[in-house]
Amino acid sequence: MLKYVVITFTLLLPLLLGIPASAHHSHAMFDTTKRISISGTVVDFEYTNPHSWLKVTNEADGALWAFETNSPSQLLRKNIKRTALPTGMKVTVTAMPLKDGRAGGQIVSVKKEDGTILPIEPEAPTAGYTP
Amino acid sequence: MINIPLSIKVRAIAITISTCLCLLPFQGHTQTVDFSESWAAYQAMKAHASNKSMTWERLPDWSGVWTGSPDYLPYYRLSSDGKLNVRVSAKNTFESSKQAAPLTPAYQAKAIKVLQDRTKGIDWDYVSNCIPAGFPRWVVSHYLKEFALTPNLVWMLNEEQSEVRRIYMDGREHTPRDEAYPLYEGDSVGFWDGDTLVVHTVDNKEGTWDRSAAAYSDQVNTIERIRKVNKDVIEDQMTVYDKMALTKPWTVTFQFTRVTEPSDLRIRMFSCNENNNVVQDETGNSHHVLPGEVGYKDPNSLSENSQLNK
Repeated sequence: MLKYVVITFTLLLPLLLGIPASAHHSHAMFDTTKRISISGTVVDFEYTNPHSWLKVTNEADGALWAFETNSPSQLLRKNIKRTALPTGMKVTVTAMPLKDGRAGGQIVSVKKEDGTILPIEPEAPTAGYTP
Repeated sequence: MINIPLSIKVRAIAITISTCLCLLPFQGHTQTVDFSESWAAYQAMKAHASNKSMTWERLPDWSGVWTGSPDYLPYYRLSSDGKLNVRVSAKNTFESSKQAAPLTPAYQAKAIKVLQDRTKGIDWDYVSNCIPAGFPRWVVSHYLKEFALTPNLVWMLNEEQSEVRRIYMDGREHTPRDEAYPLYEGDSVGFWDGDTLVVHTVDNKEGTWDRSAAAYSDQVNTIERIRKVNKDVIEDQMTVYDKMALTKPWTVTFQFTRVTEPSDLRIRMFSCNENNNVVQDETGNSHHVLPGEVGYKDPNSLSENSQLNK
């Protein structure tokens, strides 16, 4: 059984109502009102444009999950370097899931084994998003 | 009155018609943007400008890394009765920038269609195909920017897709009409009015101001008055002319703000195809192709899979 938690946020902040978003693509594929949490091992941290991707093997069932995040320069502005998430590191990724249920999402935060949380900010509005 | 023989008249008519027919194929190569209104306004500004001839010693210091923002773009959303409603971000404090683009009926219909699709969860952006954002959208791109000033040429560099605007400051005219064609960054000429850079741009490709924002046509042409208002802000007051998309010229003010964290941040070459697995699905929506799925482009093996290596 896929071991992940789905939390539905019912209290939506009205502050972020549909502001224009300049990211490289739409966020319509993500369910911005939900969060999933996947614990596992880093396969690859692709520090690439237009988006970086973190690939993680889910410790519950061995499935490969792919999570999208900011571009390298946006990560650098948060002091998140290429070396922040080395292959083999144990992490817990909190993400907005893909609406169609496939093993992917957009990163909301990454917690490392030592408890440190990387200050990633999701590109999709976090709540109140009216597509 | 001279009496011209009929045979000569027939020959003259035949030559005239065949000449016209021969020229027809070339008409498509002539760029037909009507920028007479903005050009007249630009020339009037130039006539009244002070200190137009720039020297290396007097060049303003616009060095550093900057970022644009969509926050300064007034935009439309649908009201409950399905009409276009103007929204302004809280960050947009310019009194001159509270009006969204005054769209023609045809471009209002386009904007309504995009927003209606969006309410159905269908959302797509040509930039996702790794097409450059292009100008004037360039100014609202939230990626990093750099300004390289010289007396005769100004470069404006966008991190996103490494897009470069070139502003010719040496007094030259726009590209001759029979050599012009639509360009992602357009064709720009400019002059200095004191410490304000005045830029006239034509020959742009059609596009949108942002995903789900209003569209502009390839008739779009602009005058920008760009100046550094303090050490951390460069302001770009733009008047947009577009006889296809706009009912009248539209003035809007954008800002570029200095990036200070980290202080040594560098702009790198940006390839959008480095790791792009977004495609448009059969409904018209944006879709991620994931690792292991048909069509997935693994960024770690793109070069190995390229035709060059086979």
